[in-house]
Amino acid sequence: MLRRIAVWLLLAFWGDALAGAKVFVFYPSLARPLAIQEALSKKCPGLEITVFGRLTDLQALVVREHPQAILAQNAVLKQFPEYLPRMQGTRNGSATEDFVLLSIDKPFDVAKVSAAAIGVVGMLDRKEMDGFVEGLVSGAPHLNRVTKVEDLLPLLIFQSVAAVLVSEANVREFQKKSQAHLVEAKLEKGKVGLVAAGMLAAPANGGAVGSAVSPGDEQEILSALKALDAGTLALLGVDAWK
Amino acid sequence: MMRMVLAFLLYGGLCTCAIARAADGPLARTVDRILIVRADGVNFQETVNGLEHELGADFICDERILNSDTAAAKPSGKAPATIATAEQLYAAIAQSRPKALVLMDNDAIRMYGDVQKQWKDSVPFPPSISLMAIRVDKAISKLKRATGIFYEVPGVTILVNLRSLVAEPVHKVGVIMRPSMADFVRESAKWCKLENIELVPFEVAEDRMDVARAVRTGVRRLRERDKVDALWILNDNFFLTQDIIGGGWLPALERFHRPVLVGVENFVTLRSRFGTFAILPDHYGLGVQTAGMILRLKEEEWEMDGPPKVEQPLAVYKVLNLEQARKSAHVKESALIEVDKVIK
Repeated sequence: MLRRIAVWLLLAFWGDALAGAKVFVFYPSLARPLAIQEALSKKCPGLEITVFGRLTDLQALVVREHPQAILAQNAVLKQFPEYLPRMQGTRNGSATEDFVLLSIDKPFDVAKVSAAAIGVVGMLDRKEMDGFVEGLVSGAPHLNRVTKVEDLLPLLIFQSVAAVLVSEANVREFQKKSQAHLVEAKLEKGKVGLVAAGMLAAPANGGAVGSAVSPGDEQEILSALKALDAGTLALLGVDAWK
Repeated sequence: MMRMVLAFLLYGGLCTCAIARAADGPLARTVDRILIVRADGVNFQETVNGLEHELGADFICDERILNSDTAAAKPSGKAPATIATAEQLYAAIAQSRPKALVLMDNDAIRMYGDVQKQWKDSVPFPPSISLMAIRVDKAISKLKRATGIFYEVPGVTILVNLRSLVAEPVHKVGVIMRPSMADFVRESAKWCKLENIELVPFEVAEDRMDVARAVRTGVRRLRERDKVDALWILNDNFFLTQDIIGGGWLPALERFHRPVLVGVENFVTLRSRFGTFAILPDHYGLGVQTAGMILRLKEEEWEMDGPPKVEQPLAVYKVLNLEQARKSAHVKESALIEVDKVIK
């Protein structure tokens, strides 16, 4: 019996030692999480990568498994204070992208945003999302939340909302998909931080959320991300790191 | 006597401002209760997950499972109570004092209809949101203070997704239907027009004896005369019996070398020789959409007037039979990352 326990412990230890650093990814896009996970895992064989399609799943697993790193847009990363941004993704040299209000046939009147229903992807919890959107649109619209970027298009088609809040990159994708007359309204404060890599820092409460990422693991994660090719980086909405 | 007691309970519940207080924590928070009446099963549970996650801690969701002796336990370990009669539902409403009901499937809607009928002189009933039911618009037409979400994925969602996947143009799409589905197809056609897609219907009378033959005729006509770019097979049991599939659809589709869109995952398996692309409701997304409707109701202080309004479902789950798809169109390989499940 004791021998069996010893073997089990040894296997468990080896399993942990052999497993790569855990990296959780949350980036709502038109690509399915599994497709992003397969692409990233192929390019980063030394890392244990999990891509999430829902914020609630990410939140639950971060609490349970304390991954060494989280890859997510800055606004999402801020919801996990134990994870400090160590590397910022950029696109065309910028660390942010423009979000716009997309509507059908006529441009949305941004001045009337507080009286309108707007479609958004629920990338943050409800209250945090309210604040995030208010910062972008300079008003307090009613938010219709969806879980996937692609669900924003039916919201528009079925006229459930006056406009949807999307990145300019997604506007181009929607224009490829839809033959409806999609019109965008620019937002003065519509800049949103792109994906960044946050590393688990030493916890303030002495270890309740797991131990900080080791310098070796951090180096391994950052090197692997920097080595990604353009096609894989595009799945994260970036083309370089800084 | 029983009715009087239940009516008293309900009246008392609704009049005492129907606010539940979270028991834990020194700063008790007011929370609203929602009563979910649903069938048992994985899809229903997934919808509840989406609903509960989205509503968060500001709501308490009570559940009642319909007509089941063995409701599956929740992750918390506790199995929801079961109900089988209108009296039990009435009692559940009186006990839970919900701000709104969520009715999942036709039996739940029927039962709430019975409650409203039997206790029609009672106090106003909580508003309801119905989903996961066949033709929910018809099912809730007699309910008071009712709204809902269609379970049938609208044609425009299916066809816009198909267009993203294949290189060929998708302008004309055939659909075989019976007259009772005409209003649904007409509504779909209206949305499709916005996307420059024309739905071409072929109608089969409800009393037609040889439906399999009618299906064969319909597919041939849509292929030869109307020259449709794809075929949309409705989720209508009238056309989907084993006999009609074997004697109607399968022989007819052997000569139909265009994408065939279905609403059942089993129809796109490697062995089915039937569908190319299945688009199903995303149940978690349905729950999130329902939560959005509940939040809007709350903003409107739980007021719901006028005739029932039904929303279209937004989130879908996509399954592609790649081999079948490649036989019927040029598949854009880059678009495969947008498909939930690719069967190779």
